[in-house]
Amino acid sequence: MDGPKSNRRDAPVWKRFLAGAIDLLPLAMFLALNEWSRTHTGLALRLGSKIVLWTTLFWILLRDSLSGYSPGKALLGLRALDRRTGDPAGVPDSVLRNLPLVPVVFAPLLGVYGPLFVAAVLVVHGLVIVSSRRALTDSAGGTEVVEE
Amino acid sequence: MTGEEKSTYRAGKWAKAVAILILLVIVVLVTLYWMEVRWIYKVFNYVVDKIHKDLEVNINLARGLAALVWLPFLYFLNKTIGPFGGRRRMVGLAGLSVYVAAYSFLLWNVERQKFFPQGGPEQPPIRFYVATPSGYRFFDEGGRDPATGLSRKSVTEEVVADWHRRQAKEGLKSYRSLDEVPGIFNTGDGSNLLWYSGDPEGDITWYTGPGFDPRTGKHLQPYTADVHASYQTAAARRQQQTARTRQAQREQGYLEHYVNAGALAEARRAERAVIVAVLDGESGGHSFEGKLAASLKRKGLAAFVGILMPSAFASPVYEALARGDRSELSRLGLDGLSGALLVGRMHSGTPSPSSVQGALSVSASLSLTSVPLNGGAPASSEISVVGAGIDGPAALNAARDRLLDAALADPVIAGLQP
Repeated sequence: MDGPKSNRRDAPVWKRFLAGAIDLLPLAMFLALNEWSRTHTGLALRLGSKIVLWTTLFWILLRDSLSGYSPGKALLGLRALDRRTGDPAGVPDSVLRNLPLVPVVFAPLLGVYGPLFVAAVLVVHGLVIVSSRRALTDSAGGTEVVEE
Repeated sequence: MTGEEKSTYRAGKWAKAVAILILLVIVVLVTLYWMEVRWIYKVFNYVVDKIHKDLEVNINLARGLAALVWLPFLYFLNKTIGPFGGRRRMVGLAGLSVYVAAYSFLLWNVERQKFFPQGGPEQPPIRFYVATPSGYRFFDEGGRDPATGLSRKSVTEEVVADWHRRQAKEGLKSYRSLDEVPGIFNTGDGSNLLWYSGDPEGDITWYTGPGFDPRTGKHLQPYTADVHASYQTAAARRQQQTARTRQAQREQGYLEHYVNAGALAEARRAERAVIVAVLDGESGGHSFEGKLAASLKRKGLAAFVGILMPSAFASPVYEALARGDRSELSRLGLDGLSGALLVGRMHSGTPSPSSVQGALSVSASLSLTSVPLNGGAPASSEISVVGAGIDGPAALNAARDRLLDAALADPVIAGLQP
């Protein structure tokens, strides 16, 4: 297949995880904010966190939509490409490939179990990558992540 | 991949992505709505619980009140979190502030009058105090009072009662008699209304509330039903003792007043002491009994000791004489008597024409009972006589004289001879 991938190699798993972790920092902040509001006010998820929820959802879905770069990927020299065309991932690619990560957006609803839920999702993703050399996100979006 | 295939492929991806986005937006909207409803429900329940516990009203009434206060809250909340318009949001924030302030002041006013946890004494204390010369100062937290340097202590019933009294500018009322107290026990639940210091079986002082005895500084104890029972038993015992003492004093007083101690001593030495007791006195009858006693003495039948009239004397003396109870008489200081003569009331009839021309006659009767105190059986006799005279008084005097003579000759009196 021709295109941007011609002189690039598959991204190492650790880099992908690190890039994902950087991308998920907003979600971590959201969880921290929610936990703080729960312990300090007795009310989980105050109305103000509605904005945070929407932002986090679209952040996760669209994080790779800028020519296949997310903040984490850009920092570590990775890029998401369409597997069939080799073109950099756009909005539809990003939405489709990040769909498996959407459940973590609702983790705050699980209270103290939210972080555990996020960790479990990441572990499942990791196992799939290790076993099949292809992440769930790539399978869902028809994409691959390469190192530039 | 040709340009057309690529275009179709991208269009398919876009369609999928848009469909997923729409689906996710719906899911998130539903989730947020549920969260919002849950949040409002939680806050509402919090308000209900607060009203129910702090105002101590029925849970249903609390729910109703919460619903009432909820409406303005939601109104201002809607203005605050709705579409952001500067003026509208300021109105919402101001309304919410006033609302929260009013609600907080109301709860503060209710809670500041609470001193003890609602769950009972096993619950941790909720109020602390320091006692200063100007009065008590209360706090919600323990520790050291920075203003005075004193340690804050948990409030006690005594402190609260004392504080209430100081607020009402009233002192602790004390009573020395239960007759003066307005109430001993609460008629509702039977709890005590009094506290006491002293000995329930001795000297005791009652107080209208818990606190400290102003004389001794000791804690006042609750005047419970058990303490009250002990006090009543001891009080009854003391009352009986007092009654006995008073009776003895009265008897002694009567004896000292009516009994000629010198004559009694002389009669005892002569072993001819007879006491004359009259069953009932009547006007004019006194002189008759006096004459009778004097005659007894003159004739040597008895030494004159005294005349005991039950209406004037203590009945135990008369009863002891009637029973011939030497030990009781001895207890009363009348030992050494050889006998008693119990003289009944003298009855006299109405003057009526006598068989003697121009004279009137009067009948008179008398009962006599002799009680030997040195052995022997009592003896009784009824004497009836008729006296005559030129008028009623003369006839009555004649009847008395004849009655006296008949009495002195009667075997009952003769039996008094030692």
